[in-house]
Amino acid sequence: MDQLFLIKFLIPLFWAISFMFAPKNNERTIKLLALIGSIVTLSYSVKMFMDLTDPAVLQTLLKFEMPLFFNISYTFAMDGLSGLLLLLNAFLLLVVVVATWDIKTEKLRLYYFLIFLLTWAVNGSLLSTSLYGFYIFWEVMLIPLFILVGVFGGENRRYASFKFFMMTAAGSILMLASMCFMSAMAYKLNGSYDLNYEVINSLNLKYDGFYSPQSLIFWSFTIAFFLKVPVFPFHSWLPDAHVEAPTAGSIILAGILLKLGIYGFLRFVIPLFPEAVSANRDIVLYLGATGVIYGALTAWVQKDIKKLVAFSSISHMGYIIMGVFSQNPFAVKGAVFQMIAHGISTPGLFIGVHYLYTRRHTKKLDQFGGLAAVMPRFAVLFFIITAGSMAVPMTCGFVGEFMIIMGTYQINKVVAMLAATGIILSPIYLLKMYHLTALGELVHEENKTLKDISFLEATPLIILSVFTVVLGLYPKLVMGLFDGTINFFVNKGL
Amino acid sequence: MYENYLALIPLFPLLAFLLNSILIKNKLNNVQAGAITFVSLFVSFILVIITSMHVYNNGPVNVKLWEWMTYGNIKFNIHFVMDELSVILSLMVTGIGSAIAFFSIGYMDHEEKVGKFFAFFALFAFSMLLLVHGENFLVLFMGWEGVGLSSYLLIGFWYEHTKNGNAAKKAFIANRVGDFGLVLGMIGFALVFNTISFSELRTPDLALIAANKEMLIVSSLLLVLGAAGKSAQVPLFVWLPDAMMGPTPVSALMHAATMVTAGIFLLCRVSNVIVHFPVVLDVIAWMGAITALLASLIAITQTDIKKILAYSTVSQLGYMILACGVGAFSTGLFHVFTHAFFKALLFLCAASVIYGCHHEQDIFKMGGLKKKMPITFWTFTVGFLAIAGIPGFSGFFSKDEILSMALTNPGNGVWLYSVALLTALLTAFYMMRMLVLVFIVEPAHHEAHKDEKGHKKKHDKHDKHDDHAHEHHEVHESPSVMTIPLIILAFCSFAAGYLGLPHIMSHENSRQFQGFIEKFVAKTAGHEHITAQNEIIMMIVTTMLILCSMGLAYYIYVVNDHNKMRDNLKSKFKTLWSISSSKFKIDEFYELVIIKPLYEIGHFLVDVVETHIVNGVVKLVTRVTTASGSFLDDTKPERLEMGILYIVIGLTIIITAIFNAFIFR
Amino acid sequence: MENFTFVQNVLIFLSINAVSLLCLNLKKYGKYISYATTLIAAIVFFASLFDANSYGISDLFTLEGNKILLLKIVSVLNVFMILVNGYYSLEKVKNSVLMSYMFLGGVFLLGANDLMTFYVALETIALVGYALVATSGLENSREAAVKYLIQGSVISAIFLLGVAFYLGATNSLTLVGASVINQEFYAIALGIFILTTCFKLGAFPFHAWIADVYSNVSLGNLAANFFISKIIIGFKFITLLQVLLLECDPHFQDILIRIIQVVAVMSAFYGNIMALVQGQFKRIIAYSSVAHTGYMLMMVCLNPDDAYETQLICYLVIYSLTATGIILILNQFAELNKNQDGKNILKGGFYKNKALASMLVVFVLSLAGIPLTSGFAMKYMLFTNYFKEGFTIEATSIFISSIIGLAYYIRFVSDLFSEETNTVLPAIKTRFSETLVHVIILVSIFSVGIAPSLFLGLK
Repeated sequence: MDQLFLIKFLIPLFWAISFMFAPKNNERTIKLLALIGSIVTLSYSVKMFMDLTDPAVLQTLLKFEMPLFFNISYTFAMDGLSGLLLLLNAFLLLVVVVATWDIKTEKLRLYYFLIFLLTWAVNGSLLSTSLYGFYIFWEVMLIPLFILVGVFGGENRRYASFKFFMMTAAGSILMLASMCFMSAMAYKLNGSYDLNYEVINSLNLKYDGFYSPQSLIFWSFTIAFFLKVPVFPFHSWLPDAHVEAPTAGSIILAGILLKLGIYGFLRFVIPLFPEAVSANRDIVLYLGATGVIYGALTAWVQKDIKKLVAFSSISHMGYIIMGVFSQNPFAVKGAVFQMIAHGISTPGLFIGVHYLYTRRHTKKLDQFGGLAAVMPRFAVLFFIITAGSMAVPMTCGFVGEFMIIMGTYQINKVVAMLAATGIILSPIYLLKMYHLTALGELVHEENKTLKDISFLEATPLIILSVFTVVLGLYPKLVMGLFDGTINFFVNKGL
Repeated sequence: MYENYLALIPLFPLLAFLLNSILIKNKLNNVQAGAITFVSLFVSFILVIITSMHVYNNGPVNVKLWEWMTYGNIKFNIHFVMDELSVILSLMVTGIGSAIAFFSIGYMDHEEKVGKFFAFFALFAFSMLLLVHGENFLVLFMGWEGVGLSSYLLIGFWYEHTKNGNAAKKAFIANRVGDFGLVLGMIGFALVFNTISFSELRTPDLALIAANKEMLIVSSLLLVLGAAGKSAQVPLFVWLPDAMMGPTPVSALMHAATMVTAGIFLLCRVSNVIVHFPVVLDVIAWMGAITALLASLIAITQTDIKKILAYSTVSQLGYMILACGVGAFSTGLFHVFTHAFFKALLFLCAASVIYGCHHEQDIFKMGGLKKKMPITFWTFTVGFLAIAGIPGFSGFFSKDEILSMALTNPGNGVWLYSVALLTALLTAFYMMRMLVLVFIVEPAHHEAHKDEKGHKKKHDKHDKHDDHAHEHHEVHESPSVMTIPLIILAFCSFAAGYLGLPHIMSHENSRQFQGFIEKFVAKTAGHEHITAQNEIIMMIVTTMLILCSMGLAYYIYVVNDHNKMRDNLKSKFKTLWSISSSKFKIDEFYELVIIKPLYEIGHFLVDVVETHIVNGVVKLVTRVTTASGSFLDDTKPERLEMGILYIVIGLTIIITAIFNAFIFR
Repeated sequence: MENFTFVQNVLIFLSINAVSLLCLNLKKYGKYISYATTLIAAIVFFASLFDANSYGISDLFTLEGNKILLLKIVSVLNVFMILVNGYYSLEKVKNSVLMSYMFLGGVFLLGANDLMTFYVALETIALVGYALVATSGLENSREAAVKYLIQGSVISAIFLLGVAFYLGATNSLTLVGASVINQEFYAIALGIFILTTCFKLGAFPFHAWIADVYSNVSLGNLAANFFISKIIIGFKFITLLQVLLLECDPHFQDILIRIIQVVAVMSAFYGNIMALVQGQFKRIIAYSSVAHTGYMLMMVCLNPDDAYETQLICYLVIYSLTATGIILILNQFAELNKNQDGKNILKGGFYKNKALASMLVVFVLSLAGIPLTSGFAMKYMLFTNYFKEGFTIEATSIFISSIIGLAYYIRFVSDLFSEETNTVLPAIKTRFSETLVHVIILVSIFSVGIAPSLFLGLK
């Protein structure tokens, strides 16, 4: 129990609300406020992580019981895994604020309000371990992003935001249905509707065939998370959302929101429905491998940089889902690491695209070329990030992919080999992107006068590149943080 | 103490890399930039020498820096080792590396972005040392990809030209295909042997090998794929000739002397396992043989000086792989060793020629440089004799041993031998052709071919060089900063062979090199020993044949004036000629069979699957819902009647339902 | 003694309202006086509810437990309605007075123990309801009122038929502890009661009145419709049917329950799909209320239980509050651009009226059942009950229908934040009373949403 937890937890919310009362047209103040807010959030996330005595076990931070409302309770707890994602979330908040420092809009307060609200919701669903609380924040997350895309997005933003909202929300309503079902069962069993590990384990839902309760509940959860991640056939909202979203939206979406689907798998699905998981393992593994190849090939033929990056993240997510479902601790750790790596490299790419867009107001690949001559600093940093996304050894991208492939190879060689083709395919599309933007000769007149990124602009990219290399050389830096947690899951019957 | 040295060896190039890339902004001049890299390489060269002395006397040196990851008992550590195998390559990398760095100071003096060049150069050295000193698959793979990356960067050094960029991309992706094999092979080995450390694979557990035969064979073949990728073997050799877009010293160091031999290095690392699988060995042997022959056939008709050398490199690499394939890993590595010197030498000579001729690369536009660039000429000649395999020069010893090993290989020995011999003759032929066209024949002799070959003119380098190449054709000898390394290398490529004398020449200290290597790699087994006189006869025959083919080349290109004969030959064997000069259309083949289809599939996925299936379902659901809504929409004027109608219908339905229940109770 | 006090209270309430009715005819300060008196009456009645926890007049009429709770809530809402109507125009004051009578009808309906009282109270509410629609003063109000009246009278005729069957089945009109003699008649009677319920709450086949009533009624009257007819009628009917179904022969019970399930699921789907294709926002709310009725109707199938009653009250009150809040704000937006057809009255509404728009967003999300709002908690509660009672298929299908619901609820949000607005909206000036109601609704939504036990603990 942590007395100050509630305050710490609510900081982003308060900050978000504070933007309502911020001076209307004093841009600088608002931006500084946002910067301070993000730094505060990061620092207290670090603090919370430091206070974590043993990352292996869940530490209850706050338990708020409601005896009259079905004795459902909000339980806030934290372990290495959620703590790590908490850090990533706060870190990305800072990155977003710095990277979009030059944003020009009269709706600045709304912009930061939404971003902080989003961060808060993500924290909430990361920290709450009772399904009820998790679901609450899981849904709340959708609204700010919906508005963020709908207001600050591109041409086709209305369509994109609708699609994003409807698909993810539809999935989560399926999840809600099975939640209600389970809590009804729980009530019959022990007079309380509350859903936490112990209760759900005590339900011991039986698994035989597709129509047995466990399998149905498993699939409703799985589809909800698939739609969020998104895994191959369920991804149709992602490219639109990424292309239309403002950079901040893209960064948060790719950086942390997609991970919450994976987090949901790790936290709830895999420990709670072991039989269903092992029964449907191969299906999901093949889906993942297909996603890797599909994402890569589709990314290759894209004409729009942001779309390319979006499809590339579908490919990466294919790896992660494989790792999560491979039921092999090494691969699961790899998946978690890959989450972090992807949370570093893809935002980096999006920031790069943002800088290109703010200079040329286009995202079409054929509008660039030879930028290395005029923007050397950008070219170098962008290359490091790209290498990280390309999973070159000694960058963070390699670690996760390698662990996942190795772990999966033990379970299912075919899938591992299919997924390993990603090693060949990823440079094909990423180098295409890099060559069409940075290399080659300067054909377009307007590109010849572009000015290189300023130091402020370079900062986030530099930070991300440093992380890329450091994590690649010394993965233990992060691995140690969630190692125990995964072992904990393993004991829970992973 | 030696541990610290070992840890320091890769560190210096890394420092040079960082230094160069940080100081690149505030304009330190070209010489300084070069000096940084050269000094760092030279220092680590010294360290290597010291350490290797230690290794020579009392065994390998290990240093484990930190733990990268663990998986059960499999420890992934950042762990360096200096053992018999890495000594050789480490010496080559740092030694030849520093020589070439020194050379480049001269070669690059009038370039821009020299800081960048030397930064990448140092990065390459660093990763190569990582590769060489890696005690386990992981570190090796890090270096492996590192060299791939730095070669990518250096091939695309003049990125303004899309062509270079594409060449770089091609190289990287071809290497990635190899890496695909390497990663999976490494995983396979790790899972079987429960370790990734080479020192443990040195004496593998035979029981394990017997137990998981299939898995190991598959994994070894995957590793061979990896080797093929890096060492430019069939089917992945296409990237190496294009890699010549980079600065010539780079080609000398990476794409001739060191990097491309990493494949052979890898095979030697795992030799103690793969010797147990004859099928794998045969695959390797034939891969090498075919590569050697194919490349030398292509080399005959090339006109770009660097392309010729590139293809000769490919065919020499084929030789080394062939040696590994017949189980003579040590011999293969010996050829790596000798080849490193003379090929680096040849490339540097080419560089100095190109430098002298103001970035002219077409051999038909050179000629008569013998007098203008004497040092280059003589050093080149040494290299030429070495590669052609004239007795006394280093190439002779290694090549000859490979030939005999191939011949005595049980089973397919004769075939391999004949292919290898043919390759040797072709090598001699095209090297002679190059020598005479560049240095001996006067330009006047083949003025006629200028226009014919005009379109082959290379514009890869900076435009400014091209134009001042046009205004004055004053050819000159290169400065001493460039010639000194040439002389050093020339000496080495003469002398290197004497480390591994065959039995017949000296009984007491024969095959020292191989013996040293064989402390690590698998012994050459299963070859019935051929008698001394047979061996001597073989040597003489080979040498004779080689001399003949040289003579032929000399006759075709020098003696009969204006190359009538050459033209006749050309017209006679038109198809053969065109096949050879078009490089067997292999690039086009891949383009057609692999890349295009893949790209088309990508298009298909986007245009059909993505739009009509993945999005189609979503659209369909939306359409159905809204359509049914507008179909049911009863917000019309006659709402009242509808309402009452509904009520009546509802009533009737309920009543009937209940009556129904009366009946069927 | 208690009985007497309650009659006293009712009489006081009646007389004060009579006074206010008379005062309406005064020339000068008439409307102010009658407004004040009506308000006083409502407050006094609310206050009088606290002096005992059970009332009864013989066995015709008893109030206890949850009913008292409901009565308290409704009388508070009554006060709100009067506040919202305000004293600005004579029409609205009239409406307030009428509402008081509707409220009285509600009180009697709630306590009714026999079908006669039940019927009278029901008709009182209905008649006032017609009147309220008629006097709304929008262009189609009267037409809508007439249609509503006709349909309503048809229904009440059918209800009387049902009463007759009930009498035949039990030889009495009392609703508690009647012994069933003739199961067939009893079943038919229940079937007709179910039909009546569906009509009054506007479930699928009997919803025809709801769309145009909603779109042609002024806000205050709609609020009355929600607060009194929906809450009280909904509560009374559902709890009553729960009780009556117990008496029924299991065979018929099965049929009736199946009928209810079908109606519930169909109205959930129908309401959501229809709301999806509506242009005007008021209509969207109307059809969404059809869907919500569907969610709610399933409660009939559950066994009578104190906890269920509380939850039902909670659901009804929260739903009505939210819907009223939405319509209140929609009206305010509609007043700004009269010229438009109400299709895009919200376009870009956020940027000029931030507070109002944000509140509208919250209310709408609450209807949609997005967490941290009461709507979600209620939904969760309701559906968990259905799952618990084993209506898995029905509950799941209703869930799926609610996915469609999200689509049109989120349309409110995206309209508010969209920029392609042709007319630049001026800022809306909100009266104090309206602001008060907004804030109260907002607070209730969030408090119940975050900690539902607060509300459930009232009793």
